[in-house]
Amino acid sequence: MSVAESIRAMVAEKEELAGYSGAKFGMWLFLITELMLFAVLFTAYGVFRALHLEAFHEAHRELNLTLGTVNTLVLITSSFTMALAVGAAQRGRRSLTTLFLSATTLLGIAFLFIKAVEYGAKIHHGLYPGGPAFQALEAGEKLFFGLYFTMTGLHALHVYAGILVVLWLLVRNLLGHFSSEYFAPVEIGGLYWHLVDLIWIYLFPLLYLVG
Amino acid sequence: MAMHEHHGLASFYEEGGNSLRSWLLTLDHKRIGILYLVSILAMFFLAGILALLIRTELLTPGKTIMDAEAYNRIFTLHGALMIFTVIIPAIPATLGNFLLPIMLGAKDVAFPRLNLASWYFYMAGTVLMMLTLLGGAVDTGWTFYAPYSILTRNAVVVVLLGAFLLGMSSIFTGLNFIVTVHRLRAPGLTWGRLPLFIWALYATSIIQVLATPVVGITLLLVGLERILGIGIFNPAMGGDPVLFQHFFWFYSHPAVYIMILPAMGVMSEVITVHARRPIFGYWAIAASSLAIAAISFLVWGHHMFVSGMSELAGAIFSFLTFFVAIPTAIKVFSWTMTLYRGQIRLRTPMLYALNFILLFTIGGLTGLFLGALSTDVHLHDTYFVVAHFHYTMMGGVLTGFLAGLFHWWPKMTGRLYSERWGQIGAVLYFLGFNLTYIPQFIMGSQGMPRRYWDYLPEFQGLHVLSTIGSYVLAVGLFVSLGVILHSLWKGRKSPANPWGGLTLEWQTSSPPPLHNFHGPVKVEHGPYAYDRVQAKEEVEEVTA
Amino acid sequence: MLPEAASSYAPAVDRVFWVIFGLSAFFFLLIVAFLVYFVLRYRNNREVLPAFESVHLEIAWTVIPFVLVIGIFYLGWKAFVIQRAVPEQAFELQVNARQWLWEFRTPDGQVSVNRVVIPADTPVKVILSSSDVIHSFYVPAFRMKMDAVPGRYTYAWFEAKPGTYTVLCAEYCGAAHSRMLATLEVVPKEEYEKRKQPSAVPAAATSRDPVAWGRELYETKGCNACHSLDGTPGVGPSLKGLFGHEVRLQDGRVVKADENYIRRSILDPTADVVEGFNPVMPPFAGLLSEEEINALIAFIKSLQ
Ligand code: HEA
Ligand code: HEA
Ligand code: HEC
Ligand code: CUA
Ligand SMILES: [Cu+2]
Repeated sequence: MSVAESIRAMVAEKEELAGYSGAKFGMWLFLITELMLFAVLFTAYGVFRALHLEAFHEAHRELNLTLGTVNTLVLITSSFTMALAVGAAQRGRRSLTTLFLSATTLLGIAFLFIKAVEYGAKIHHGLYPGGPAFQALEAGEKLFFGLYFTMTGLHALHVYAGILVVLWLLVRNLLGHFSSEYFAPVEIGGLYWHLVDLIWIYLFPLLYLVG
Repeated sequence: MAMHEHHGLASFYEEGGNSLRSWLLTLDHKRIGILYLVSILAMFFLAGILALLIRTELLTPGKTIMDAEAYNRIFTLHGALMIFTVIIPAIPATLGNFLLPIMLGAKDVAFPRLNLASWYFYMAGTVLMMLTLLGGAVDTGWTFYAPYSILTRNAVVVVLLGAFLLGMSSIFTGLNFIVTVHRLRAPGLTWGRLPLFIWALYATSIIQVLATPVVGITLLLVGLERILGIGIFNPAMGGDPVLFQHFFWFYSHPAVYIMILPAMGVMSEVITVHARRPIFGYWAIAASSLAIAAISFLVWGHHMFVSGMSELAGAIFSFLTFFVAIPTAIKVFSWTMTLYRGQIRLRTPMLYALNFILLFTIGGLTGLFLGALSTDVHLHDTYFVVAHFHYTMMGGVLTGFLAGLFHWWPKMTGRLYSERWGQIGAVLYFLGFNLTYIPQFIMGSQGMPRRYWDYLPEFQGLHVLSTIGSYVLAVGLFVSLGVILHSLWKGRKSPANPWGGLTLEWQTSSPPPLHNFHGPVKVEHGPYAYDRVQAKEEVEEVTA
Repeated sequence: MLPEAASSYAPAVDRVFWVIFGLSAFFFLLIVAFLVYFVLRYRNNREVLPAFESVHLEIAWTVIPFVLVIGIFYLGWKAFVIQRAVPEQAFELQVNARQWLWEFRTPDGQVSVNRVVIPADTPVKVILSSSDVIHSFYVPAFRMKMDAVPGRYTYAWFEAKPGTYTVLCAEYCGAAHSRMLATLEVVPKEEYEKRKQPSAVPAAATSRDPVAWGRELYETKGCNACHSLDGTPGVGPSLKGLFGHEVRLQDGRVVKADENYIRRSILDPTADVVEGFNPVMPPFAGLLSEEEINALIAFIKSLQ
């Protein structure tokens, strides 16, 4: 091999590399942007909580702790199944991967369902921005619910997006796109799913426990 | 694919054809760069025409050509379009997209599809912003301060959504560049041999990725506030409008460095090539890009000295603000010293580069008046600030963009433009620019507030000067536009390396082939080794 | 470049301005000098001259600006402290901003719109609030500016020489932002005491020409920010030829502009919103006396 050829081969190899670890690197950067996004909401929450400590405490009792806790467990379990799916994919175990990806999808849907039940109850009681019970609240409590709906709403959107990603992985897995050589998308989708889970791990205590 | 007959001599324009489809679905970073270039120039044209309307209205106090409400909409649209659709993407998305992979010796960016997606997001965001024109437009100012933006009745939500999409597009570009720089450098291209343009884009990308989500969510919150009334920024519901300003500037201050850093990168390339001189202080310039990126996150409060923020916070923000001046000063001094003992050629790009140094230095130095607490109390929200940011954004970023555009135009299109007319354009630009904005510094110091449709009669003289200046400036820009359009029809073919540059993009044909290089790429010296390696200037003519 | 310096701390602020100006001019001219010299000297040079590196130079141009900017920060901060530290027992002027006028309340209970009389050479604390959006109270001659933020109080202070000064609104607040001006009349203390006596305004009122008085109120109470007298619509409809004519309202009703309509329009403007306009006129209930309303109506009647 001439020098020029070997260099060309090196370049080609490098570009291959970018495909895999580069994609993972890209995903990490994307996760950082997501964290910044939620950081804003957490900051707003922190500021208003400091300003309206009492009201926040009052308001947080309105949330359904049981459903919140169940949902936390659901989401943590889904993270676990996602990790298993990644492990299975790495070992090239296609049907196992299918199983765990499906489980993750179902758990994600369960999460959204429970969330919807919670929202439904709130809306039924008029406790939504602009709703009758909401209007009657004092300023600090309004802010709490405003933040509650914004934060959990945005998070739910992320879960929804995550489910779509997992479904897409599921389809590709069924089509036999993945092997023990090539499983990057599963890994990367897994990273995203864990992030969504992680955000909930912060939302839950802030909204349901501390208030 | 008949083009293969040309044995690799075909440019990327020929390879792959020129159907609409070949452009709209392309994954080639060069084509995406051109798509961006055309769209951004169109937006610049439009926002510039709006600026001329602003200036014409201000010829006389009271109504000249439009009423107050129209005026407010026009300056809002002018500002929002210039910031979000022109000056933030101007350099990274056009020159950056076209050149970054080539300068790295790569075939493309790391994620070509994401790259194309970013252009579509850009278009979607831009179209949304324009759509509001139909719906009565927005009158909040580009800063969208709450609670005005919550109370005013018009298409605010649509503009916010547009800005959000433009933010996504900006994030995609940044993310792509970071990964590309890390993973796709050609053999031999060590960090210490990276062209400074790449360093600058790299630092920019970091800010884009970290700061843009913040403004994205903040604008969404304003939208939610309008649609649902969640209360966060609404004092009537216990919310805090000053918090909005914190969030807004947490992004929008670093954003000004998203704009200026790439322009600084362009400067380092243009000056070294047209002075044929190694850059003075390579590492200092590279490091100062990163320093600026880091410090830019700590100073946002300097936009809020009179907003009711605490005095202590004001003092801290003021103190930190001055630290940004140091890395910037280092760059300005280093460019100046690069000219020492050079072989200077005053071609159009070099004239724009000199324009940049002069205009941006004025812009930066007037930032010191604003960073100092007591003078900012007087100057805040006056025309002094307007002049400051036009000197930095237009005198700095746009001038840098034009320098780069002329510098790389032969590479991007394979055509040489008329040197003489290019120079005339650059000189008119300089004269018109100063005539437009120096009067604004003076009236600002005298207490002329910004965003004023009507004003006290004593300011009229200065306003008239400024308006005349803006017309001269517009003529200069039209000349420049004519120059580049003319070159497309009538321009001579450009050689591969017209100015004798040493970075990788000059070592491939003009315009480059689809995969950027005709053979393997190997880097054996730094990008500015003009004292050791001399590339031939293939265009010798330098008009006097 | 700077307007007259009419407050006690204005000269301190101006000094900072000129120090920064001097430093900036120095550095700017230095850079220009080098640029011009290099360009002239090395233009079209064809010779490769030896490389030039100098760490000393780099250290110098890092350290010197560093020291200088810390100096600038310090100067700016020092003058800022004066701007923010209100002397004890200041005269308290309450200012409420709303789209698009300034309401003043002096400690002796006088309420006025867009015009206020203040004693000279007395520290005056301006306490700012806002009824709607953010505004900013800006008096260029005093080098004073402070935002009026809804939902909280902010403050600023000044001590001024006698004279008449313009207050501008410096934070964008909507359609008539550029017309949101007020006049500060700063008079010597003795004169202020004299004027403070509840001067026989009501009595004088009855004896004054109501049309002339109405015109004065139109200018001083801020009506002119939104209403023209020549028929061109502004933020609000022109008052020319209004009286006695039919007005089409937003909700489709058509009413005749008689005394009662105008009175209601002034005191409770949202009751009858004119077609084609936004309900943005502030209610003047409590801000105008009966006599003043009568005078305004007389004035509007006269505009045929
Ligand atoms: C590209 C854009 C850009 C850039 C690069 C800058 C650069 C700087 N800006 Fe500017 N700025 C804006 C765009 C920009 N700005 C915009 C858009 C606004 C207004 C937004 C709005 O309200 O609508 C604004 C507003 C703004 C304010 C708020 C004003 C107000 O509203 O009251 C302040 C206050 O501190 C400020 C400061 C600075 C400083 C200190 C720098 C520094 O980075 C400058 C550093 C450069 C130099 C100092 C010159 C070079 C150095 C030398 C020649 C060496 C000699 C120097 C020394 C001795 C120090 N800017
Ligand atoms: C990069 C940003 C940018 C640029 C380039 C400009 C360019 C110009 N701006 Fe703008 N401006 C802003 C950003 C910018 N502005 C912002 C952010 C605001 C604040 C808005 C707010 O308060 O919310 C503002 C506000 C603003 C005001 C203050 C309004 C007010 O406060 O009431 C004024 C007034 O004079 C003004 C004037 C101008 C003028 C005359 C130009 C001219 O320089 C324009 C000249 C351009 C043309 C005439 C177009 C011609 C173009 C071509 C022919 C194509 C050229 C192509 C090639 C050469 C390839 N601008
Ligand atoms: C902030 C702007 C603003 C100010 C200040 C203002 N107005 Fe108005 N005014 C309006 C607008 C807008 C309307 C039309 C909408 C409405 O009827 O409420 C209006 C309507 C009116 C009308 C009814 C006009 C018609 O054509 O039927 C009268 C009379 C009037 N204003 C008088 C006054 C007087 C007197 C003052 C000062 C004491 C004043 N306004 C101050 C904005 C203003
Ligand atoms: Cu009130 Cu601007
Ligand atoms: Cu800033």
